[in-house]
Amino acid sequence: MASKVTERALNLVKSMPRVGLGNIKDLPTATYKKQVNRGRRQKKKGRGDKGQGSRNTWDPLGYEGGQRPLIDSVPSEKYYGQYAIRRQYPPISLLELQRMIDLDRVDVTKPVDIVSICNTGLFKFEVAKNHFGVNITEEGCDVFAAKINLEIQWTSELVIAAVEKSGGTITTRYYDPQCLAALFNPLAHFKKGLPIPKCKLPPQDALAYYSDPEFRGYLADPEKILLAREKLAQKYGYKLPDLGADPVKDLLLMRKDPLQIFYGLEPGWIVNLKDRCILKPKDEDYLRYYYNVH
Amino acid sequence: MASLPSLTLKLIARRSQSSLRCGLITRLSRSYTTAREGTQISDEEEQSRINNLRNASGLPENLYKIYHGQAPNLSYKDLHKRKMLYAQLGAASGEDPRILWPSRAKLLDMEQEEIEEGSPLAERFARIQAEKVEAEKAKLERRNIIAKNMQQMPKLIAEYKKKQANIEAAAKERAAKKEILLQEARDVFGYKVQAHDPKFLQMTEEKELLEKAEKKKQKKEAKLKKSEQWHKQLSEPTPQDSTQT
Repeated sequence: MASKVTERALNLVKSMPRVGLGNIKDLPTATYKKQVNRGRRQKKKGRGDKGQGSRNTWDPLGYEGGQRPLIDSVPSEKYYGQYAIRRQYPPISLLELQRMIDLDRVDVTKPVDIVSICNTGLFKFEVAKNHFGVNITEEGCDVFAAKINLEIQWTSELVIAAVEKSGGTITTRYYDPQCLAALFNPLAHFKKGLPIPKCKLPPQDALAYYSDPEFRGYLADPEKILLAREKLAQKYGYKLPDLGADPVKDLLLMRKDPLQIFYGLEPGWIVNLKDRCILKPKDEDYLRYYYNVH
Repeated sequence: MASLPSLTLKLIARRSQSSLRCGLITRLSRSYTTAREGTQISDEEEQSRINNLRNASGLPENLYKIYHGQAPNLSYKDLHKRKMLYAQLGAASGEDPRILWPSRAKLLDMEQEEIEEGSPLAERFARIQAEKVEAEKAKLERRNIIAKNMQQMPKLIAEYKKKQANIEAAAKERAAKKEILLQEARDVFGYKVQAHDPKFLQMTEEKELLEKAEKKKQKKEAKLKKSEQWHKQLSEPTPQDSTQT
């Protein structure tokens, strides 16, 4: 049996294209002498006629002929320091969500998460612009009436109250940018043949929010969340519907694992659209990697 | 019969182009195939000839394959291309699906990196709690300092007011003195003199010197008086002494 190295080398040689002048180059140690142009041509040394180019009297970088250069025209505002890299959560109102539900653009008989909201085509976000998910705003909190299992990235107390008053459940959930790209367009992700990524834990400044039962964080203690539900009902003065007696209790209590990004699919799986099958790794190294986060 | 061999010669010439457009020619060429239906074709050339015959559309090889969902015949495929082919065509691509996952070495490397970069969740929660407690403590400390300083406030205000009053009083005194001097100068010169007038300034200087001299004289006189008194006391006999003797 040939050794792995020779095998790989042979495979490389087999798969590489035929050697030609177009795909080889000299060794790094090769040196080339400067081409000395003898004759009339070398009079100006390639610098042209007169001017700054030949006399090395270029204007300083950024100089705009006396016009106030761009670097001078905009003042440096230190208080804007980190604003370009802060996390952003593009908003969508409760009213908009209710409208989507009423117009059957969102299926309430299944859990509603960022994928469902993006699949309506009415909400878009861009990972490259530091968008980290959907932010449900309070407009429409008094007309919201849909029993929904909602999973979003940012929200306020009033929205939580509105959703829970209608008999639904709400969870705030963090997704890292790689997962967000897959969530925004799952079709494109599967067409690239990439394995489903495992979701990383939130960064330190977001961890407090996503582990807070007041905001129904996915890392919070479930018992504390139940307590918070009751507290909120008392604060806003509505009767908290009994989840235990609910016919769609299983739907409302459906939650993703902290590492999972798609319902029913686990990290490490590969969805092949052509063969309409799922490829799952069996090797223990791979399973360990995809089912653990550090 | 004489025409048929010439037609087959034309076929052989055209085979390299792999574009058989005339249906008549294909029908005729079929009658000349060496293989029969159902037998194994071992020759690769024969196989490619058959494939060309099947390619009735006359599409180039790889386009035909893409259209029919077959793996294209590429001279060079890098890893990314192979992954994309598998994703696009599935098992029909002929690629090993194992290439879709990262290699074991890379996977272990990624895992190691994650372990090094990350810290346990319990630790992170503890850090959040600690930061909260610290913030509370700092707030409390600041409030204590403020309370302590506020207790001092009445005293500080009184001190400040006193200082301001002193400054004002001193200023007033100076102004009053100056006013007196100006009045005297007015009497001396016969008209209202300006304060910055050199005549007035000279007058004030002279006055100051006189006053100094006077003061010195008075001091000396006072000293002399004191010393005289002292001598007097010493020379006088005390009543106690007289009685004793």
